[in-house]
Amino acid sequence: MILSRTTMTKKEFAAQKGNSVSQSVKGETPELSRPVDDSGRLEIKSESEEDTSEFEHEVDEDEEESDSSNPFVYHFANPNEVLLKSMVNHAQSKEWTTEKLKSTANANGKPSKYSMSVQRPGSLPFHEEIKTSAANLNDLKIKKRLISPFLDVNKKHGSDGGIFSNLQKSLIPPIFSNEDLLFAPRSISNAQEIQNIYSLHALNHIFQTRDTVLKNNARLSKLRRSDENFLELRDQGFTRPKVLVVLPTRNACHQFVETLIRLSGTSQQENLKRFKTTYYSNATLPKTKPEDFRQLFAGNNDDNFRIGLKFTRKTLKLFTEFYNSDLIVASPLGLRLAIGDKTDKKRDVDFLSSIEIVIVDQTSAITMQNWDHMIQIFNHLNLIPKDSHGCDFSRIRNWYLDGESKYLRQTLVFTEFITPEINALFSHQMHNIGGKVKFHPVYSGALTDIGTKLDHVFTKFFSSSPQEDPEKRFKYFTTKALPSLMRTTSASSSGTLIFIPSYVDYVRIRNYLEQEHQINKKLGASGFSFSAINEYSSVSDVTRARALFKDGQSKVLLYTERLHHFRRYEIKGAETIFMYALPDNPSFYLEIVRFLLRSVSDGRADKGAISVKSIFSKWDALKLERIVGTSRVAKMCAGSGEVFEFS
Amino acid sequence: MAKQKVKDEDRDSKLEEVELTEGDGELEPKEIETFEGLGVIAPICEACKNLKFKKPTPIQQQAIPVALEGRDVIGLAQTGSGKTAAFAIPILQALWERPQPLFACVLAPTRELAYQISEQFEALGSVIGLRCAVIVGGMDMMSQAVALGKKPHVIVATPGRLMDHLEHTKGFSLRGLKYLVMDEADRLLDMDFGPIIDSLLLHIPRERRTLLFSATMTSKVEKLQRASLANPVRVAVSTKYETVKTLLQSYLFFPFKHKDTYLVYLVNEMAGQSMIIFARTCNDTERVAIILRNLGFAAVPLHGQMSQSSRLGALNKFKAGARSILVATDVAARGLDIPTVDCVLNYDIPTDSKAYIHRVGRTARAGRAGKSLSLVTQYDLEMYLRIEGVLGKKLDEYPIDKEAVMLLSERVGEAQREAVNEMKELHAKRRNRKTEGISGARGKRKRTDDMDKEES
Repeated sequence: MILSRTTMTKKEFAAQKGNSVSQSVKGETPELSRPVDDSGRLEIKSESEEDTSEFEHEVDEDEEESDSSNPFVYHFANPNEVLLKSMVNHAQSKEWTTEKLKSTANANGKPSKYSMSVQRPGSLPFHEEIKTSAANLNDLKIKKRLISPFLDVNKKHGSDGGIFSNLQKSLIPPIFSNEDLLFAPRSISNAQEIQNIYSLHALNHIFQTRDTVLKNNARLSKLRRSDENFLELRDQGFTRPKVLVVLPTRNACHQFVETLIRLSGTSQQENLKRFKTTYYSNATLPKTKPEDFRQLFAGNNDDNFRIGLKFTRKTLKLFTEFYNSDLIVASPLGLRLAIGDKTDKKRDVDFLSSIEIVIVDQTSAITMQNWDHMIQIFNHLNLIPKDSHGCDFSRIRNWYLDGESKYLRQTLVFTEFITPEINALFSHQMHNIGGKVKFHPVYSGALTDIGTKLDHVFTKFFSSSPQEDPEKRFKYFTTKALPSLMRTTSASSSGTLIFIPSYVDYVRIRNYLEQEHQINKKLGASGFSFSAINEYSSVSDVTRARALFKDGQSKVLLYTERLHHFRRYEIKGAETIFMYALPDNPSFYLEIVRFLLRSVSDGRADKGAISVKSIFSKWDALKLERIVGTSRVAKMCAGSGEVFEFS
Repeated sequence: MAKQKVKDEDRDSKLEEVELTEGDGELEPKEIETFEGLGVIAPICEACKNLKFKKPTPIQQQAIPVALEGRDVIGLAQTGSGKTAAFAIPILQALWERPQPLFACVLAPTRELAYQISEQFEALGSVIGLRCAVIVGGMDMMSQAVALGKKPHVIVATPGRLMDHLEHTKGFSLRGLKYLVMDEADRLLDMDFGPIIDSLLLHIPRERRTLLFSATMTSKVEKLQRASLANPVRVAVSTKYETVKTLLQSYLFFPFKHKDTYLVYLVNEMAGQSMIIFARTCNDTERVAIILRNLGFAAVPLHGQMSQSSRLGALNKFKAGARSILVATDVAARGLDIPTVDCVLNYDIPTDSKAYIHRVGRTARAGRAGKSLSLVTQYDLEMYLRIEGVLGKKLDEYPIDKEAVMLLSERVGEAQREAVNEMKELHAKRRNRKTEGISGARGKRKRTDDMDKEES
């Protein structure tokens, strides 16, 4: 026999004290109470009713805190200690079992738009008992006060006469069973549906936590009067913030907070005016830019912000101090600045110690910001704090004290496409012992959306590891691709656009071309002029380079993915496009290829002369899949073929 | 057999005495040979076996049954006679019968001793899943608060830091405490700790068992009342101030100005043996350690002005045998159980005769042999004679060749001069650190003590 930690459980406590105090405890935790006779039970009922009336103004009594069919209780509030330990051990030693779920057909018989894979720690059989069904809201164990606002907000998304859309139905099981989620089929058309669901979950989590704490406060203050304090009520973390939402821009934050306000059913909001002035702007972008660009950069597109939100019964308070907040919304940069530097003496990251849900939305846009900030944020989550900040140690959950909170944290990542960085986040930073689910879309390929006949040539080069990929790529480019590219360029009157996603590669190639240019000049050989623009170039530099390229005065233009992401220029005068690496965002491929079609329609290039060439290695499978389609990518990456042409 | 008599003069606290002189116990045929015989439950007996406790020591034989009955105990036994287990075993057994978090609290006067006691508790209690926390000064408050938040069964603490947590760590209280132990109780109950013990006791329920243990015990009843014992039993295995028989004690008398020279000579004589040198001040320990190091001896200082991590580091090095000489203040005088110590050298004569008993008790532990040497100069004579008076015997003079000693004086003088310079640097460093420490956050001071670093 081993002395268990909570040697004085509620049960024992209740058993020892045969008076009204214990009965009130029993009443609220029915499954812990020992069998009692009928009369006893009746008594209990009346007791607990009295209790509820006492703090009804503060707390909904719509759920039992130890109802283990409630995923909040099962996962956070009252996890099985033995199971928890073994799962954490599995997660620590990185023993995960992966199960690929067969893409189930939709209700209307169409093939599913995505494939799903589920990972769980250890080799235990997957526990299905808490799988939440999406049939109706009551089954989700949602706080009652959240139900009617949600029905109202989500009205237009419901399908087949139900509350939820089909997409929402597939999102609900993992999200509401507190599993980790990487959801790649996000798009501007389903953004709101997704946001409604995760906002509901975040609010539900905050309210459940808060209500439990308030209820226990009342219970303890009652007990204190009767001078007993052996009751173990562990219901909180080190600090108050429970949910962290990471978004790319202030505008996205504004939108999210709007959704929260409507979903929370709060009748008043403090500091809303200040929020509007600092986070909202009605600036719109020209219609000529693509839709996703206008969505992402609309309004206040500042990417440096952080804000704390606090909920009380009737009000939502904005701009609360972090240690007093339930929810923190921040951009990676904003949060990184709050975290500060290691050398910083007043460094304080304790507010990240007790985050139980992390939501990252529009992750694909965040990859275009500094991804290093994201890594730093995740490294600072769920650490044991440096200072107590006045927390009550007798009420901190055991798994917090044991430093296991990162194994219970739920992380939800929504992205329009998956990059290796996001995959790394999924495998190295998401440790949720509840399991993790990945939704991977089935792509038909961006190529099919072009609509015009055009030759696309993909050439494969070999590299044995991602680490040596840049070196191999550079070598392949300078020895194989560049000479032939130069031949076609000098033969033609129009220009070649070289698209380079990474800035590092960009600098390397710019320097290489510069060097070649100097050598050619010395030899008196006919060199060619080139210009190069990137995300750091000034507007005037970019304008000049574009004009030179358009006029054919510079034959080659180097162009980076981030520049395209932030500006979405239309480059005129291209006849050949060479992709040093494929863009992460498949729509960029389309937009860039359309430069050629534009050249043709402008009469600058001959329809037969235009071409798109790309080089790739097997490490580019994710990017390639989005462009050529899921069905082809495996063959292209694994096969022995080197050149693939689509027309 | 133990003679029991109620002492009349202690009527106030109704001291019941169980006195046992050493010879008596051994001759007695009824002596209890096993822990089982004392009423100790099987799992703990098993743990004792694993720790190679062959049979209960006299103090254990006397104290355990009384404590198991649930009486308050004042335990008095020589240094190195197994007092820690004498209170740990009854507490573990009571805990086993009625498990409860924050069940017992053990107070110790020094941090090192607290760590040592907790090690013993953990060793004995691991079989029953004991959780134990050490709460001492100089360590991070936050991680201690986390440890307390986990509700350990036993807390081993130094009084100051425990008070700090009771006042500042929300959600931590000792209101459910069942056992309070004061190890080195006379030290805890005297003037230095008295006030803080008084305020600690306000946080601890009156309905508890209290166990006091020491090798030397205060006779003043008012001090004992501080611990508010209820009907205590006094268990004494020796007369009040007695040193162990296996300890060979001697002294050396010489003029003060040759003190360092004599010390170096003695250390050299005993090279290869493990020894503790006791000095009066922190400064002296550092100076002596530097002199010895300059002369090529592996010496490491231990005193209260070092950071807690360097203190533990120094002690661990000495324990592991990486350093054979520990130069310490009285912070190491009590309780520390380092079985390998061959010799205790009193560089300064202790001002308190009790301190002498405890100092020399660091050697000749648990039946082993050991020796102690006191360096007496013309200024220490009065103190030394008082100690002899308390011990009730005259010690032998250590035979020494005075001319051989004087041969060393030149080298020692050199080392002394070097030491003076090094000390100056050290103090300058410390001053800098202090000013940094004030501007920086509390407890974040960088560790610049390189006193116990590996030599290159």
